[in-house]
Amino acid sequence: MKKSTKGAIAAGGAAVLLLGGAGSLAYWTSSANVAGGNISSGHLSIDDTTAGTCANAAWKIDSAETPAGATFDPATQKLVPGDTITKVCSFKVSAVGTHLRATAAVTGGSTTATWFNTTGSKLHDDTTNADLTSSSVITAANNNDVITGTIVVNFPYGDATTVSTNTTQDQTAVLNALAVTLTQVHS
Amino acid sequence: MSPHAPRHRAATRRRLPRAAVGAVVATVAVVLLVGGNGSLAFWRSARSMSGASPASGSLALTPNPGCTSWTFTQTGGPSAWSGTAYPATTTTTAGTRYVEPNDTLSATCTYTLKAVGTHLRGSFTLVQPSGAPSGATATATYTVGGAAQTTFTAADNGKAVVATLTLALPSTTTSSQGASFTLSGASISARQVHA
Repeated sequence: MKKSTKGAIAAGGAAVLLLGGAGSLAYWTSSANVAGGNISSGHLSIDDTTAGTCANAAWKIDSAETPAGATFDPATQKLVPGDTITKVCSFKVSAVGTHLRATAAVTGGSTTATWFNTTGSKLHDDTTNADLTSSSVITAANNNDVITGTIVVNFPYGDATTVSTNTTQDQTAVLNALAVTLTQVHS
Repeated sequence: MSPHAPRHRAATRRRLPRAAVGAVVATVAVVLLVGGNGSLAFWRSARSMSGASPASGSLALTPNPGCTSWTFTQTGGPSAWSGTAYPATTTTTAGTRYVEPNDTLSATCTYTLKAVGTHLRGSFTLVQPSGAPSGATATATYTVGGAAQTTFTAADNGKAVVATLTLALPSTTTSSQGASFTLSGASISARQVHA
C-alpha cells in the first residue's frame, strides 16, 4: 500500500471518529400547545349627535322678557343685563370594556369678558337623568347614553351697589369653545 | 491525531456557542416586550362645544338739544301774599319775574334715545332738582316719538324723547316771601329692567 493511500484511510477513519463525536451535541425537546384565543380591547368615545352639529346649534335667550325663549344670534343681536343665553348640544357615549371606567368633564370656555359668565354650563346624562359632575363615573353600563351639554352665558343684572354699570354697554367678547371630555381611568 | 484533524475542528468552531444563541434570543424577546409599551396608554375622547362672541347692547339719552330754561306760569289775581300786585296770568322766563304761590314752573327736555338689545326694556324717571322751595315737587311727563309713554323698548331706538318737567309751587306757603331759589340738578333717567 502506498504511503499516500494509508494516509487517506487514516484521514477517513479520523473523520468517522469525529462525526461520531457529534452525537454528544444532541439535546431533546418536547412541546405542547397551550391554546391561545382572541383577545379584544373595548373602546371609549363620545360623539356629537346634535342635530346639525353642536357648532351650528342655535342659541336661545331667556324667557323672562319678550321675545321669550327665542332664537338668539350672537352675531347680530345684543344682550342686556339680566339676560341668559343657552346652547344645548347632544352627545352619545360609546363605552365598552369590562373594567371601563371614565370621568366626564367640561373644560375650556375661557373668555376675557368681565360682564358675563358661564358658571351655569353643565353636562347632564339624559338616560340616567343625572347631572354629570367631576365625581361622576362613566362605565360600560353607560354605553349609548345620551348626554346633554348646555352652555350658559349669563349677563347678571346689577344690584344696589352696581346699579349703573354702564361700562358694560357695547361690549363684545369672545367665548372660546368648551370641550366635553371622557377620560378613561384605572386603578 | 491526524495532521488533517485541525481543519475539521476549525470548521466546528465557526458555529455560535449555545450560550450566545440564547443571548440573542433573549435580546429579541426583550425588544418585543419593550415594543409592548403602547399598552400603557389610556383612552380619552373629546368633542367641542363651540362658543360665541356675545355682544352687549346699550342704553343712552343724548341731549338733542337738551333742556329749555325754566318758565313759569302765574295763576294771576290776588295771591296768598297780600298787598302786592303781580302781573296777570302770563308765561315768562324765570329770573325776570317773581313767582308767587300756586304758580307753576316748567321746562322741556329733548333727547335722542339709544336703546339696543333684544330684551331691552326700561322706564323713565325724574331726578328731582335741588334748590326748590319747600313743598314744591317736580313731576314729569314723557313722549317717545310723539307718543305719550313712560317706558321704552328696543323698538324705540333712535326716537326723540321729550320730557316735560313741572314744578308746582305750593299754594299755602308763607315762609318763602322775598326769597330766591335756584333750581339745579334736575335730570331725566332711563333705567333698564329685566324680570
